[in-house]
Order: sequence, then structure tokens, then C-alpha cells
Amino acid sequence: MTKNFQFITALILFTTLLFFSCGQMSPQEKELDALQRTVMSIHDDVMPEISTIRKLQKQIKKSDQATTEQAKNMINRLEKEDDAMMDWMKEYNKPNYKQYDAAKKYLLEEKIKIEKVREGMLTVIEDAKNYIEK
Amino acid sequence: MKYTVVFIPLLIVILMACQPAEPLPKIGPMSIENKDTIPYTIASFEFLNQNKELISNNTFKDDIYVADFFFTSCPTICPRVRIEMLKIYDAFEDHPNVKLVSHTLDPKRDTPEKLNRYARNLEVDANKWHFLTGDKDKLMDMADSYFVSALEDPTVPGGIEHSGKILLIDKAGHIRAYSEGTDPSATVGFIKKIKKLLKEYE
Repeated sequence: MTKNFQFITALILFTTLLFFSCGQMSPQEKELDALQRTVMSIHDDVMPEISTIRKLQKQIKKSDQATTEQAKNMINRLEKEDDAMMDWMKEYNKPNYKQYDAAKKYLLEEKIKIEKVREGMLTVIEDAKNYIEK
Repeated sequence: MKYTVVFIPLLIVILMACQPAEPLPKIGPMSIENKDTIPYTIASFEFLNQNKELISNNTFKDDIYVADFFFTSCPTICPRVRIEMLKIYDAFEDHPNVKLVSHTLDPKRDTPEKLNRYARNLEVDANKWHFLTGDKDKLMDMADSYFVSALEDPTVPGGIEHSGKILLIDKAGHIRAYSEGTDPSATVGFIKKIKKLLKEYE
């Protein structure tokens, strides 16, 4: 009887533990999740600038300088940065947190990639604005 | 005395219920033509849907529709808006004169084929929910046409097309309501507005 009781208590404790641990992340998973959030927040912060890029592109296309070599070059550069962001999003996939090493490597690489995208976008916007003001 | 206490609030309730409901406003800048004020109407358009059918304003002459802007590879905002659009789809699934129209902001990658796969994954009917693609500049102009100055929030950087807004368009192309597609609590009220607009046509 006592043995049986002990067994049941152990079973209940074990199930409770299992129940609570489900849906909770391990420290490693938490670390990966924080990294994934960082990557996403870099993306979210710069994403609205896609509209700026497209507005600048439209403005140059509609200007009377549109057919000049310089204008075409600027239009292409804007297009390239637009593509860079769109391609990054298309290729990005949230990694499987269960594979810590691979996931961490992937997220760190993606962080560098999205930072480069951000830099490219902000640079081309600056350059296009300067070009239009000239 | 006892009765008065009961009757007065009851009377107020009845009176309030009898008041005709205000129709939904027509949103956007008015124009004046021959001394008549003309409500804002969205621009004319022609885009391809996920079945490569040509979709224009004329497609919706007998329908009211819910419009939004998205793209299939969008990782953060669009999936949240999609959940709300699906709720609207479910709420009006059996109502033939309510349609949904999602415009891609990434036509280079969102081809009709890609949109077709996307729609099939969502298990939605192509005659009910159109996913539109076309020329990038024209799609951006269309976004501007939907998100007229009355709707624009100057605090949103770079434009409203990435804000996740959902709009309600009537049969004549007027914007009648809008909602925050990223806010699940807003959808309930928005669905009520769609029902209210439907009543105008009964």
C-alpha cells in the first residue's frame, strides 16, 4: 500500500513537472529566441523605408532627367536595395531551436545579412535624396 | 413611483433603439463638381489575381469588399493581418456579395502562381478572396489611392502600406471604414461595420 502510494505520488509529481516544462523554453532556446527577436527588430525598423525607396524611385522616373545615365543608375541602385530586402525576407526562415549550434550560427549570419541590407537601404536613400536635390 | 423607476430607463432604451443608425461615413477628401460634393472614390485599377484573371473596379460593381496590402514573404506584420482577414473571410463565407482583396507589395516575387499556392495553403476560394499582382508602380499608386490623406498618420515612417490597415470599400468605390489589421480586438467592430454596410443595400 505504501509502495503503491509512493509510486502514485511520484507519478503525479512527474506529470506535473512534465506539464509545466511543456511550452517553456530551455535557457539555450531562450538565448536563440532573443537573437531571433533582434534579427526581426532590425528588419521591422528598416522595413518601412521600402516605401521611401519606392517613392524616390517613382520621383526620379517621373522627372525630366529620367532618361539620363545618372538617373537610370540611381533607379537601378534603388531597385537593387529594394530587392535585397525582399530577397532577405524570402530566404529567411526561423530556425529550429532544438538544434542549438546550427540555429545560433544561422541567426548570427542572418543578423549580419540584415544589418548589411539596412545599411544598403539607408545609404541609397541618402544618395537618392542628394541626387534629387541637385 | 415604483413603476416610474422601471419605466423611465426602459423608455430611454426603447427610444435609443428606435433612433435610425448613422450610416458609415464616406472617408477621404471630398471634391466639388457643379455645386455637388462628390465623396472620395478609389482610383481605377486592373490587376491579375491568383488564377490569372483580370480584376478591375468593374469586378466588384455588385460587391462590397475588404482590401489590404501584403506580400507572401513578409515575416512579421502580414501574418498577424492575415489572421484577422481570415476571421472576416469566415464571417462572410456564405455571403456572396462580400469579397476580400489582398494586393501584393512585392509583385516581382509574388507572381500569380506564387499567390495561387499561397491562397491554396490558406484553403480560401479564389472567387471570394482575390490576391492581386501587377506592375509595382501601379500597385504602389493603388496603395496611395486607398490610403488617402484622411487615413494617413504622419507618425508612421515611410508610409501607411506597411501599417497593416484593412479597408472596407462599398459598391461605388467609396472607403467606408478601416481597421487595424494587427489588432485582433478591432476586427469584431470591423465585422459589425461590414454588416451595417450590407444593410444599406438590402
